[in-house]
Amino acid sequence: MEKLIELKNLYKHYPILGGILRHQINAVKALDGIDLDIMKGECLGLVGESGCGKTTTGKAIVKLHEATKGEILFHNKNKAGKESVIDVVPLTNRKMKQKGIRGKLQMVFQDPTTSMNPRMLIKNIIAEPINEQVKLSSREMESRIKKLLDTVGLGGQHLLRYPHEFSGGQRQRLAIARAIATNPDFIVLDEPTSALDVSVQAQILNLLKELQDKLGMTYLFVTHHLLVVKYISSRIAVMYLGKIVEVAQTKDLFENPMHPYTLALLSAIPNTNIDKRSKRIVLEGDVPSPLNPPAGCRFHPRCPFAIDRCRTEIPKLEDVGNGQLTACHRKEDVAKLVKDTFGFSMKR
Amino acid sequence: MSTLIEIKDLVTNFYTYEGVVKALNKISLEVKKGSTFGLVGESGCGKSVLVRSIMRIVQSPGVIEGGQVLFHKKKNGKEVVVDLLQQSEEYMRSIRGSDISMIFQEPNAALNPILSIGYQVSESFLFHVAEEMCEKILDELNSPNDHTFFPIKQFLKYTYRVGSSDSKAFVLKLFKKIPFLKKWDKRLKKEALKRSVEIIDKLHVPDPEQTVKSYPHNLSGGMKQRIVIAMALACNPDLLIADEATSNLDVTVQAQILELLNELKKEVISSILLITHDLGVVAETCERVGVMYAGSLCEVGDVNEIFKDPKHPYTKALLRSVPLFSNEGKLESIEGTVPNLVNPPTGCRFHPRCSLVMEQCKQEAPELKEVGPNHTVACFAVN
Repeated sequence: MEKLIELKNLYKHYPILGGILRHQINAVKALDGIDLDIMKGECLGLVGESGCGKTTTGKAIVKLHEATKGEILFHNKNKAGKESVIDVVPLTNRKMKQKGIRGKLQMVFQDPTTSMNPRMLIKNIIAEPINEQVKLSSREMESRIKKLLDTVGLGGQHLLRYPHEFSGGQRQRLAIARAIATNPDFIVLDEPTSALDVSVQAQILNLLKELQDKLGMTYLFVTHHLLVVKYISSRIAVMYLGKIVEVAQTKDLFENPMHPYTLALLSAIPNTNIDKRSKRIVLEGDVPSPLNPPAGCRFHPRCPFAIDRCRTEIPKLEDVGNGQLTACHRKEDVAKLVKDTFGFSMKR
Repeated sequence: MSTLIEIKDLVTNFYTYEGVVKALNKISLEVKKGSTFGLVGESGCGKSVLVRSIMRIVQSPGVIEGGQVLFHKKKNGKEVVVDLLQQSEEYMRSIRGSDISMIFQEPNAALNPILSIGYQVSESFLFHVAEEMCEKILDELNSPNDHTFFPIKQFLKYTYRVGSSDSKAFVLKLFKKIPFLKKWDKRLKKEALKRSVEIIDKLHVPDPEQTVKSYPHNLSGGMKQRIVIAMALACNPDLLIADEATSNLDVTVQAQILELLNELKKEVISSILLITHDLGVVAETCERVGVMYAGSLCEVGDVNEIFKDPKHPYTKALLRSVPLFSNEGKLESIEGTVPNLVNPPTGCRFHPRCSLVMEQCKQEAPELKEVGPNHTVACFAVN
């Protein structure tokens, strides 16, 4: 599988200014050294609790936030067919447009109500990104927009309407239409179904799957809802407090989780299957603040299996076979520890 | 198990500029003592309107038009059946918080950002159990260990004697206006604060002494929701209504809160009415489930029955469209959209989207009929 985007040692620190001279006294360490590879054509799910930095990762790739340090390598194939690897971090929007890659990295936001300008007509909202790339005549633009609306399941009669005249699910479809308007290679989906109803969620997820097959796009699906990500992604990365703790194929992650945090997340999902209910690992306390993350492994204050080494040494993300990566000092013993401490086996 | 609250044929309408929104269409439901009842449904089906009609806090232009809400209230050891829709506003104010409590979705909106946590939790004690607290303070004053200065002690004894019979007496209100005598309720507030610390501690909040002095912005989301639950459970209500209480929280925090509610059910509360759109939460915590669609109840039954053998076509479609742990196949979405309740479909409100629709469904609205032990369904195709 080819790589499309590589994140190498990505940092994003938001400075906190204080004191008399307003110098930097502390920083919110939203991303603290992320290494992630996104393969072409896959849907990578990025899960974690609120405050762990998943939205920041997505926005850093699309350049809505400037990364403090690190590299984001985008494998670009331009119109002539030439392949090149471009580091997106030092580029500005203008330079990206010159290189022709600005339209290839797009994003769909969480709240469909606030992500569209309520004073703009639908045809202008969807035409906005297209206008940045090419100059089309109004008839060409209209036919292109109508085709886009068809792809997402809405009709051409909606062109002269405003966003507030649509339901939540329809607005999210419009946001998706706006994101695919420039023929992107890569779309970041930031919790696209969290603000929607359960039945509409199914429609949107099916639409996203269809579009991926039809247009050959790569997705980064950011969410905190594990069952949704199980349905739509092929690979999942779990984040905790600015660091990636586990990456695995979906099936492997659910059947054989290796990091204690992943275990806790999986056991916390409410299960509708009344017969097969297993005991829960309920974590104590809340997520610590990213202002002063704990030393060593970030998870050690809440980890039921922490040892001395966890408090001083930061674990590295290592391969345990089958493409599964885990950052835990005790990864070989975790299965046995779970059985001893909680009395159930991890394999479901 | 005996009934705690019974709703019969409840009708609520909203008179808006666009027309009359028929939000609730003759809902009948029963919650038994010591059980958890889950109410599921999509957005806009009327779950929040239903619970607000029970507590009579429906916002205008909503009007409760008909039906009965029979609440079995314990009064001086005996049980009285009261129709909440016929009572005065003052009676309802005495019920809300002490007999029926409610917690909402957004803890940020439920807590006042400029008042300390201790003040906010003591509010429910000061409103509902003031007389009891006055009696306790009176006992303390009469005991030989008390060493307050004699004239002040007599004054305090007088005020607390008045307070233990009627906490809203005119005399006490008058004392609040006179500067020298304003401090009579200092002991009362201290007692309320002590009880607040106790109840916050019961909810496993770390360091409750420090928490009562802090403000809502010092706490995280899960903590704030626990404080809201503490406020609701302060006076040992018989019924706790949770309106999407865990929807905004992370999965791990939601697991903590649900475990907490399960624990408290045995000690403090009698029954819980849980509203949610998450079927997993319902499966984990509830004993009985009611499924609502567009203002009517489709199916009511025990949780095992509903999840293993759903009978109503809407329930079946809902279970198929939700990503579940064991779900391997494609998610099937329900065709069409939720109807506009200004002009709801005639007869059964689900008929435009139903796969088993018949002629009768378009003309008559089906009633809840029994199809199994404790399992009722409102559908012509099933009965």
